[in-house]
Amino acid sequence: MRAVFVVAPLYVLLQHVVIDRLGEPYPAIALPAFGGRILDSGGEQRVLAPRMTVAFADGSLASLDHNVLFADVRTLRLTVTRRAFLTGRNSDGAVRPAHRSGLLDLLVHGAEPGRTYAVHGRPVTQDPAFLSWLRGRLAALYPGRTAVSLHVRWVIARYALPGGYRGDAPVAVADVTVRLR
Amino acid sequence: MRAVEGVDRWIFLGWPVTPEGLAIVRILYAGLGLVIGTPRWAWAGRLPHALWNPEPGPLRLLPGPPGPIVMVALQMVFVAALVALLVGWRTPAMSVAVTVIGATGFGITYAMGNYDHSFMGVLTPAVLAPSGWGARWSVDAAQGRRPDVEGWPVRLLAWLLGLAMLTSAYPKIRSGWLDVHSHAVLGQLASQYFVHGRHALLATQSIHLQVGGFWELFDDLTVLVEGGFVFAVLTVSGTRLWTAMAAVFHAAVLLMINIPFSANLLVYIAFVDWSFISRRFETSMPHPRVGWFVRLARHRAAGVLVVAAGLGYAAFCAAYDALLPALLSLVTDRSDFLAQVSLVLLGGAIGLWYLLSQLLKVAAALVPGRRPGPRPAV
Repeated sequence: MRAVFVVAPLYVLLQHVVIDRLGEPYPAIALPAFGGRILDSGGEQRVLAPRMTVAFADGSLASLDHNVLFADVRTLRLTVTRRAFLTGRNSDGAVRPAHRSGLLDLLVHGAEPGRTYAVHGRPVTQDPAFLSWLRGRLAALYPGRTAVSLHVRWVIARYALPGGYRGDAPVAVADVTVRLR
Repeated sequence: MRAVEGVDRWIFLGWPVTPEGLAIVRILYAGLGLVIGTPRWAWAGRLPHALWNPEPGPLRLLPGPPGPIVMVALQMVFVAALVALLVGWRTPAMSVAVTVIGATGFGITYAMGNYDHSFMGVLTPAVLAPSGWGARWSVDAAQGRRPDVEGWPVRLLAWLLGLAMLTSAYPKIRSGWLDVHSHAVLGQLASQYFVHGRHALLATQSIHLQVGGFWELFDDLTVLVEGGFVFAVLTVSGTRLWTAMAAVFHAAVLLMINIPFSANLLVYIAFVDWSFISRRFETSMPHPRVGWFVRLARHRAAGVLVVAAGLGYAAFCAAYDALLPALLSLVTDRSDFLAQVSLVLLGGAIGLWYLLSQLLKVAAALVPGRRPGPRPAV
């Protein structure tokens, strides 16, 4: 049992190396770091934020809050939104194709974001299950209207104290369009 | 050789435990978990597999999240195991079951986007499984299964918590929390307030608090509490002192930033000296009053009853949520959050009471008249 006490700090050290190289493992002897939310010298905080617009078959548009789209999600919805519409995707909203050669490769590098479904190399935004879910969700949110695409514009939103929102940076970080029809 | 003996003494003899004290830890851990917030994992099964991206680790072997039915089944088995832990039926096995099922279920939800860091809370039962925390006030005890109690699992839990706290402090130091101009806690507050819409309790008052010194002090104290934990856990009194400070700190974070670190509170329960309660319980609740429990626990079908009760409560939780949030949902739509508020604020109040009692002890020792005088010569 003595060994567990000795191994524990060595494990945490190894875990630190894994965090640096591959990302934070799970499970891990760790607590949240909250490292990257420091106000800049102008007292401003910049946060990557999605601005969503749904286009309908009749040509009309509606803006959509990511909290509404992922209302059922019982965790931070912004991170889930980032996973769905930004991480690992190129400017067309496609996921970078990647191949894993085996179990070790998968364990060490993990599947590419959003690429763990059965069909290899197909962009998430063309993934039938994803599109089916998105269509169903938008149909529930906008009954009687047919959504033809969802445009997600990723911007740097600026906040400052005490007033709060100071507007978005003029240049978008990424534009992702998901075609639904 | 002497060093090894010293380490052995520290590990195996250094943490005082009693069967009753450990039983209170078990009952509080499982009871609070069951009343305040049981997991709801089904949402992860309803999202498209395209979002599945587990962190490095065993969950990467799964091709995607299991469906919602599997997730509901998993959460029901977790709740049933927690009920079995509460009443102390097959305690060591149920302790490990709670950890394994909890780690799997929470891990699957984290793999859908947000890593929530509740693992230390989930790990606690497996670490305490060999402690004999089912040796009193349990079905096991009534059926004659009374293992010896051990202090080393509590010591190990404290050691692991100290190391986990270090993993939290180190990135803060690296990212500039100790810089006098950074005001990182204020940055967190701004992020949670404006981006995630966390406006409850004292968040609005806090966001308007423009006192740089206060925020910098908060930054530094955060790093001190987290970074100092690994040294504090070397002694029992240090662990208790730091745990109390952390509990107060969590309450402050909850009030200002609305982040409830309730999983941490479930870990801290193990470090409290519960003897003041167990002694009263022994004297005010003599054996005959809990005779019904003992008779039921000794019944041939006790195991079946425990499983049935566990699954029954699990079904209730799946339908309505845990007891406290279910009751709160009758009057508010923020029932989950408010249920956690009660736990974190209670933890903060106990921590504050402990800190004040220690302060009074120090003050009493410093007042000359209160010091014990020399013994009269016989």
